[in-house]
Amino acid sequence: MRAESAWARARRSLLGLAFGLALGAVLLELLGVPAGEAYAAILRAGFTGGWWALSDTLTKATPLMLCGLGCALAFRAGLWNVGAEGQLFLGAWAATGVATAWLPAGTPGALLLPLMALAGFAAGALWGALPGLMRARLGVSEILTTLMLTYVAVHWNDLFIYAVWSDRGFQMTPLFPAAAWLPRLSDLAAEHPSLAGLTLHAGFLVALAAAAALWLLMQRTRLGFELRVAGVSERVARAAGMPLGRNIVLSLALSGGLAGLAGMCEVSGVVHRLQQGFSPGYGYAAILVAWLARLHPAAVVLVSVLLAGLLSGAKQVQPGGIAMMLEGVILTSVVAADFLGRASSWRRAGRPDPGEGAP
Amino acid sequence: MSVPALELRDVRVRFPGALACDGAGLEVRAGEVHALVGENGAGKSTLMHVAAGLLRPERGELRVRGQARRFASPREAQRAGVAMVFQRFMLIDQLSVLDNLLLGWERARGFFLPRRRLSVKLSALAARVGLECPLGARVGDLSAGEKQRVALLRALSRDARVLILDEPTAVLTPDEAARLFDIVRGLAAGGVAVLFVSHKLPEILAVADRLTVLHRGRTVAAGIPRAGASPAEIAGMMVGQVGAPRAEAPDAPDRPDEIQPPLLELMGVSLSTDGAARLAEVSLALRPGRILALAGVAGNGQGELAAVCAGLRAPGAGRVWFEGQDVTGRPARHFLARGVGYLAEDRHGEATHGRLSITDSAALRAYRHLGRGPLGLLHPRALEAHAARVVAELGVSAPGLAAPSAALSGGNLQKLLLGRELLERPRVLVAHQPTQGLDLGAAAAVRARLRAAAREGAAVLLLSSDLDEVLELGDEVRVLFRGRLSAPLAGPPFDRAEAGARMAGLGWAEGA
Repeated sequence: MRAESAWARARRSLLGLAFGLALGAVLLELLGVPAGEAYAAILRAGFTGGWWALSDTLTKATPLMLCGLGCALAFRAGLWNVGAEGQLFLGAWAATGVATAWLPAGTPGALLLPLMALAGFAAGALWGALPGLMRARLGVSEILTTLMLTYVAVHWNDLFIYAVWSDRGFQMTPLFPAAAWLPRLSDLAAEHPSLAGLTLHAGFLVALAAAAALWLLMQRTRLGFELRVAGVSERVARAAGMPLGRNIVLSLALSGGLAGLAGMCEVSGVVHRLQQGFSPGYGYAAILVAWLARLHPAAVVLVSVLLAGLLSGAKQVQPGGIAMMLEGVILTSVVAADFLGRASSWRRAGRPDPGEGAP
Repeated sequence: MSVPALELRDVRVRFPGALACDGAGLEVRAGEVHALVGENGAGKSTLMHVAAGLLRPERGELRVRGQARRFASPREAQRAGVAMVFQRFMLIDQLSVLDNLLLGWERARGFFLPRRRLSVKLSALAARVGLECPLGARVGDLSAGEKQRVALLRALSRDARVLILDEPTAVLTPDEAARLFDIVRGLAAGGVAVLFVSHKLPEILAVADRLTVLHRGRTVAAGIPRAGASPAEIAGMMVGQVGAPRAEAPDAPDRPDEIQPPLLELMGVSLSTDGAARLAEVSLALRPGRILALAGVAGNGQGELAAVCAGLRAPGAGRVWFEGQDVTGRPARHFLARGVGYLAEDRHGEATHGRLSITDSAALRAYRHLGRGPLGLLHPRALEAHAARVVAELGVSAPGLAAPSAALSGGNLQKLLLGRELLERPRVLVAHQPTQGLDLGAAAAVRARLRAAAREGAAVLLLSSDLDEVLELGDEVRVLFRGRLSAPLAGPPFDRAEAGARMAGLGWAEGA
């Protein structure tokens, strides 16, 4: 809806990336780490080091992608869902309940996995719908409520990890039955030995399908049109007779649902149990993913893969703290380039953009 | 006679596409309250902005105490002793009264502000404008009347000898307004020249010594004493009528004789916004094929009335009927589904948004039925085709359908908005200030479309502060004043002077 070309945006992001890499290199050298080797190691470990590297990256990209899509949906509708992390936790919790507690043992995977996905989505959706209701009915800022409910969700999970579902007193639930595991590439190792050890799971396909579905929703449906208009101006949407309150609840619920699905994929595809710290903040990084992707579903796919590669690659650089520093420097540069570029295009246009609510 | 404190002569100001002032002027003397009156859009504010250094005229003369001046900025005007108190006061709510007064204080030498000394000085001045609150009070906590006194005090503290008050009673309660009149007269008695800008006749007659009347950017009566003209004569001058009532308007549109049952009907509708009553017991009926035109100065409840008719606001009291069915409190989409179209006054805030593309703006009505296929998917091509139809139908000149609607000129935007309503074949069309700010060609096109819509059977409600437009288009003309609706005026032809007097608040039964 913005007049600016997609190419201009991409160029700005690339410029920011280059600047971030250069700044990171300077910092690395100052710390006595050879920058060239460090970057080569990141590239290898994140992308080019072999099938295992790519598989790792795509595995990490899966929750980023799903949460990022959820954030993009909400932001498009002009709603700041910053609680994807909590929705992811609650989705993981509900999926765990289905996998280990609420269904009779021995339920076949063909039934169990869809039910887990459904429960994960529903729990995340509930965690999004609550702030949506408060916003629509009482005008409470969803920024605060989504953030606060994240803490509730994390501690809710703790309660079950420590007590209710604890595995012999350890801070984790028992391992899921194999029927509750999402299929992995390595499951096919019997026929294709080259796939042995590859951890990429079917959740990645779910995330790709979700991206396509989100694109369809936003670009081809009446609801998508209404959400886009409300994202630009609630007043215009109201004057056009759009059901604003319903749409607020619906978009936050869908947004939370996608994050909840990410939680299900993570416990069912990667960890195979619910435990503390199973997410290194995917739900927060997703805000960044959505922002950098300019809320476009296809771009969310791309950005989450790139970011996941950076995350897993940077772990190869020693000492460990450097990885975090590099991530911070590079991401800040990309975001800053984007923001500064837009600010200067406003200046050229002669005035700031009045209705700038969501990125 | 002494030299006038401020004199403006033959001022011309042109805005893109419109002449705001041409041949406007006035003179105000020290010690008098001088009223500048005229309809909305008569050029009052423009002329005052010239006096206060906010606008530079294309032509014309400005003299302060006999000296020819040209102000490059409000600051220069202030130094020359000309200060303007704006309708919205331009105060900072978060700061104290004292801080507001000291903002931009020029005479302080050195780094520190001698706050204590200044506050003593200002307290003495405060008494003159009747400001009783402590100078440490937060401006945001004050009432509108008190804020206005702070603004007055700020102007006086800068040695204003000419004080321009722009629609000063617009935000005041009647009590506060009466108090303001006392203060204003007191200031004049103290030697200040007060210019009182207003379109409300009763208050002008209560406060002014002399008055100057503007119509369509031109001074039609300069400095006549209050006693020199009857209220009816002044009202006539405000609406551009001197002497006998003008005969029938040119090319009277065909008016259907047969009166059909109403489509949309309001019965005793009252409504408040933020505790202030905006509509009082308004009853009206919109009938197919007829235009009900409501005259009235902007801000007398038009926005609320339009919103009620479009289903965007539920009345606080009273009922809304559509074809004999009670639809009070139904959501806007219910009204839309029944065929109520709405041309909002705020084109870039409510009707659409500058960031929405022309395609999306055009689709805001039709998107509900543009879906195709078993899933009812909205294809961008369908949206574009619809926008292209609107653009072609109304002759909108657009830079491209994907461009943001902000790229359209006022006239083209309004044509687009009108077109998207008309393509839905509305049964009722609510048009609020449909030609405000449009150039003459676009305004004429919009009016012709409204008339055509009525001829094709739509029930049209026109709310406009342009009396000419109301008299030209209306099959039935009524006046809205302070949220009350007058009885239909006799006609057509309608009596301009009668409408003008009613718009200015004359001829209303007290308390009714």
